[in-house]
Amino acid sequence: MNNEEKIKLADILLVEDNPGDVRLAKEALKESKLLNKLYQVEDGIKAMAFLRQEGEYSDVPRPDLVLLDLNLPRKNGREVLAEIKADETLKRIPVVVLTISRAEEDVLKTYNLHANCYISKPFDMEQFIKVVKSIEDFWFSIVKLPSE
Amino acid sequence: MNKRASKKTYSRFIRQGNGEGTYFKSYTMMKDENKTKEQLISELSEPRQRTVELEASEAQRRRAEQVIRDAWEYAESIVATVREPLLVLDADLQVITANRSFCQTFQVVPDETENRLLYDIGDRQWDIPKLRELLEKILPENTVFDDFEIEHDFPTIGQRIMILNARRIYREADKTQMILLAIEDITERKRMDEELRKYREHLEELVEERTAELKKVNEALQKEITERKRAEDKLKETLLDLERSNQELEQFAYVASHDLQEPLRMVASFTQLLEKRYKDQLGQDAKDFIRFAADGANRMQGLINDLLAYSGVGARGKPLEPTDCHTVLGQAIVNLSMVIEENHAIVTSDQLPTVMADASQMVPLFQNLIGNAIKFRGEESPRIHVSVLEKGNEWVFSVKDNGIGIDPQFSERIFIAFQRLHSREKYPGTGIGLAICNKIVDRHGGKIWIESELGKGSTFYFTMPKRGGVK
Repeated sequence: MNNEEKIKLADILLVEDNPGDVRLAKEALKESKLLNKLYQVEDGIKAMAFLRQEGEYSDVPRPDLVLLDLNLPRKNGREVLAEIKADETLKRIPVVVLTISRAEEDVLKTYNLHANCYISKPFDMEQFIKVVKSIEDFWFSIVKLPSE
Repeated sequence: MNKRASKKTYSRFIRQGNGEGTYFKSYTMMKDENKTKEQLISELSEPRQRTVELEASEAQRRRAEQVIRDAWEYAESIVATVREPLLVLDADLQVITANRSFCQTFQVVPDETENRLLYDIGDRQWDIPKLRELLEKILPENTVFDDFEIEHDFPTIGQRIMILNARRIYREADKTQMILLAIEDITERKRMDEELRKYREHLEELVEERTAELKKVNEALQKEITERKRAEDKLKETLLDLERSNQELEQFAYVASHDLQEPLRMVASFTQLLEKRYKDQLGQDAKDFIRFAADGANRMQGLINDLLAYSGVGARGKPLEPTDCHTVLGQAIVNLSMVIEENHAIVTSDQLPTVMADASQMVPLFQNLIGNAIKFRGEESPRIHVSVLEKGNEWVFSVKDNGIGIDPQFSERIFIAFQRLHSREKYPGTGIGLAICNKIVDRHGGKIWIESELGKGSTFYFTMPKRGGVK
C-alpha cells in the first residue's frame, strides 16, 4: 500500500463569497501537505444545497470539513451553521467558522451556536496559511473522523 | 322754775329773709301771768322752730348760691383756658366775653371788646359779610352751626381762613339769649393741606411717569426674554442636532472602518503572497516595491483598527451596569499576559470598588494604561500599581508605573488621537491608546490626567462618578 492510498483525499467545502478570500484559501491549502479537494460555494443557500446534495449538487461528495464564512449574502453563516447542527445527517461534519472579528464570535456564542472552531480571518497571509494548515493537521492527523 | 313769769322782757332776734337781705326783727315777749309754763314754752317754741327752719333754708340757699358760683367759675375758667379764641355774645351781638386767646390772637384788649358790638371791635375787623350771614341769618334758624368757614383779610393778622362753631344758648332764668362763637385759625392747616395736595398730585404725576417708564422697561425686558428663550430653544435644538450628528459621524466612522478592512486585507494578503511565491524571480527593486506596498497596507490596517476602537467607544458603547473593577482589571491582565511575562512585569492593586460602567470598555481602559506602562518601561522591570481613592461622590483611580515618564509639557497632548512622543521605531503604536482611554473615561462621566516627570515614572489618574454619569 502506497502512502497516497493511505492518505485520504479530504473534501473541503469552502463557503465564501469574497473571491480574494477564496483565492487565499486555495493558495494556503496548496501549501498543505495533505491532499485535498476544495469545493466552493458563495452563499448560504448553495451551501445547504451542496450539503444536502440537492439539485446541481446531486453528485458532490459529503465534505469532511466545512470552512464557513459568516458574512454571506442571502443566507448568512449563522443560519447555515444552525441548519447544519440541527440536521441529523449533517451535524457531525466539523465546521470551522471564519470570522473577521471577535464580536462575531461573541454573537455566535450568544445564539448558542457552537462551531467546532472559530478562526478570525487573519490579515497576515502567513498566518492564514498557518491557520488552514493547523486545521488540516488537527482534523486529519489527530482526530478520528467517523467514517461513513 | 317759777310758775309765775317774771317781768323781764325777752328779746329775741329772729332772722327773716326773702333773699334781699336779712334783717332782724326783735320780738318782745310780754309777761303774761295767765299763761301756764307749758303754754309759754309752746308759744316760744314756734318762733324757735321757725328760726331753725329759716336758718336751714338760709344754709340751703347759701349752698345753692355756692353751687351756682362754682358752676359759673367753672365755665369762666374753661372759656379762659381754652386755647382757641372764644366769644360769648348777647342776643344783640354785643360781646359779653372775649377770652384771652381771642384777645391775644386778634390783638385786642378785653376792655376794647366787652359790651361792644362785635362788628365794631378791633377796627371793624369782624365786620365781615359772611359772618353777618352766619349770625343774623343762619344761626337764628339753627341752634348750632358748626364748621363755618370765613376767609378774611384781617388788618392785624393778615389774610386768614377761620372756621367757626356757633351755638345759641337760651338762659331760662332771665330769658336771655347768648351766642357762643368758637374760632379756629385754619389758615396754616389749609395751606399745608393745599401743599400736601399739590405734593400728592406731583407725586402721582411722578408715579405715573415712573409707571410708564417701568412699563416700557418691562416690555423691553419681556421682549428680551422671549428672544432669549427663542435663542435658548434654538440652542437646545442645535445641541440635539449636534449630538445626533456626532452619533451619526461616529457610526459612520465605525462602519466605514469596518468596511475598509476587507479590501485592505486583500491588498496586504496578495502582496505578501506575491513576495513569497515569486521572491526568487523578483529583482531587489521589485522586492522593495512590494515591501513598501505591504508596509503601507499594514499601517493602514493599524489605523483602521484604531479608528474602529476609537469610534466604537461611542458607536458600540453598552449601557452602564455595576461592574467589579477587580474583574475587569483581571481580564486586562490576562489579555496582556504575554507582554507581562516577556517583561517580567508585576501588576498589583488595592481593593477596588464596584462602579457603574460598561465592562467592555473598562477592560481596554485598564489594558491600555497597563500596556503603556509596560511598553514605556525603564531599565528596571515594570512595577505597576493600581489604586483608588474615594473623593466626595466620585472614585479617583490611579495607575502608577516606574517607567520612563513624560515631560509635563506634553501632559495634555498625549490624550489627543494619534499624537506620539516617540518614533515608531523606538516604540510601536499609533498613538490612539490614550485617546481611546480619554473617550472611555469621558463617556463614563469622568476625567483623566497624568502626573509625571521624565525618568521618574508616571501616574495616570481617572475619575468615575459614584452613580453613573451616562453619556
